[in-house]
Amino acid sequence: MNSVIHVNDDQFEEVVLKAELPVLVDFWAPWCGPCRMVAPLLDKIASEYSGKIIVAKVNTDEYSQWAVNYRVQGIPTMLFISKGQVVKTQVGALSESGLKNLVNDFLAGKI
Amino acid sequence: MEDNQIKNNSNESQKASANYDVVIIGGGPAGSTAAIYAARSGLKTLVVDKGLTSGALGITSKIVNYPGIVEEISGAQLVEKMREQAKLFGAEYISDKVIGVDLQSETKSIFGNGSVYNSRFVIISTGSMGRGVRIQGEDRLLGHGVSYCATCDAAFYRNKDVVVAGNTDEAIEEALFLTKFANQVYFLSQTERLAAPQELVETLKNHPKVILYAGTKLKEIIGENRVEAVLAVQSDQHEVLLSVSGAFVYLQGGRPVTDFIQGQLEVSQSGCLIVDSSFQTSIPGVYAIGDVLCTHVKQVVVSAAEGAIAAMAIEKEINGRSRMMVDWSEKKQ
Repeated sequence: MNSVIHVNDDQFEEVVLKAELPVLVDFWAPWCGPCRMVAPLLDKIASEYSGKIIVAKVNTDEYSQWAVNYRVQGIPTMLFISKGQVVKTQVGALSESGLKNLVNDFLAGKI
Repeated sequence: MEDNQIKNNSNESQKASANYDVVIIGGGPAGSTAAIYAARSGLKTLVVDKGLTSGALGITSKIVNYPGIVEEISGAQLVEKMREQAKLFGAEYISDKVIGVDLQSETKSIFGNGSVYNSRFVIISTGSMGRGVRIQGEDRLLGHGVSYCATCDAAFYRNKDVVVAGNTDEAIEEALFLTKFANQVYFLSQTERLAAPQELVETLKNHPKVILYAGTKLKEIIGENRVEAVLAVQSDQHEVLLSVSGAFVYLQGGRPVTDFIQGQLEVSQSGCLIVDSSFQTSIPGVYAIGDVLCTHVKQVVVSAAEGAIAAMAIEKEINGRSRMMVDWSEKKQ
């Protein structure tokens, strides 16, 4: 069973961009309410889709380099990255079913 | 220093994450009356509300038909009296904006910008001042300069210019929060007068980083990949172009505020929440009262009555009674 991986600025390239598996990366901060709402859903995705997707999180409070690179100006922002390329950007919290639909479409190559 | 302040706020709100018997979302007449009845019957009651003037009553200047209140009273004053009454019975009020809920489990979770609140029962009394039509450019630039949460996103606008559109105390609080980071905050109020306590309005007006545009309507948010400017129209039809990096939108409309429910409750064909005679929704333990129900007659007294019915139904559930308990005090002989 996989869990969410917390990455810093230096690890981002290796863990997210060079990953074999598709990656869902969440930019968040501890004081952000919508981020807290998404957090347990991301834990669920990491465990239920274990082996199919990597779920990574970047705390923008501590590590801002990649948030700046991707022009993240609101959190939570979730990027769906396949082989180093962003294929979908989701800004703001969403429901469990909404997130699962996005993940399913992402894994099926529909987005 | 600024970051530390945020963290301290965050820690404070974490303390509020205790369990409650009932969490009421929205503290207008429906929610506050429910709080009066719930707290009086001994239930641990929390009301989560985004501001005193954010609802329909907050902008009603005069109420003359609420039974028992003969003197002229504003909507905000009436709801403030209800809140005081609820607090006297032990209800807690927290100022926070609810952005999502998990209603499926036995313990319901209510996610606010400030904290997460857990309870056995939930009453939804969020009113009907939700927005329908979006501003041109708003959806496209969401997350790229358009935001609905200054607490979340203010830090991305350090030393930049931003605009805040709205006229409620919620909008003012968010604008004042932004002043800790932003270089300049343009505050666009569609109405000439702001619907907020005078003290708060004065703080906004006197803040050196704030420029207030009263009677000015946000018309368009402009930018290719990120917000670059906004176009606004003043009451004399003059257009103003403001160069900004961020647009924080707190506008209101006339739709039931149900977006935070994210489809977890059954609605009718016309999109209205379905409730039974005690105002319970399709999920047991979750109630909806007041203007958020589309079939409801929009009068303070009706909202208040619905609040009483829902709170008494919850008390009955919690204490395992087959009938609602009548709450009266008899004169001692």
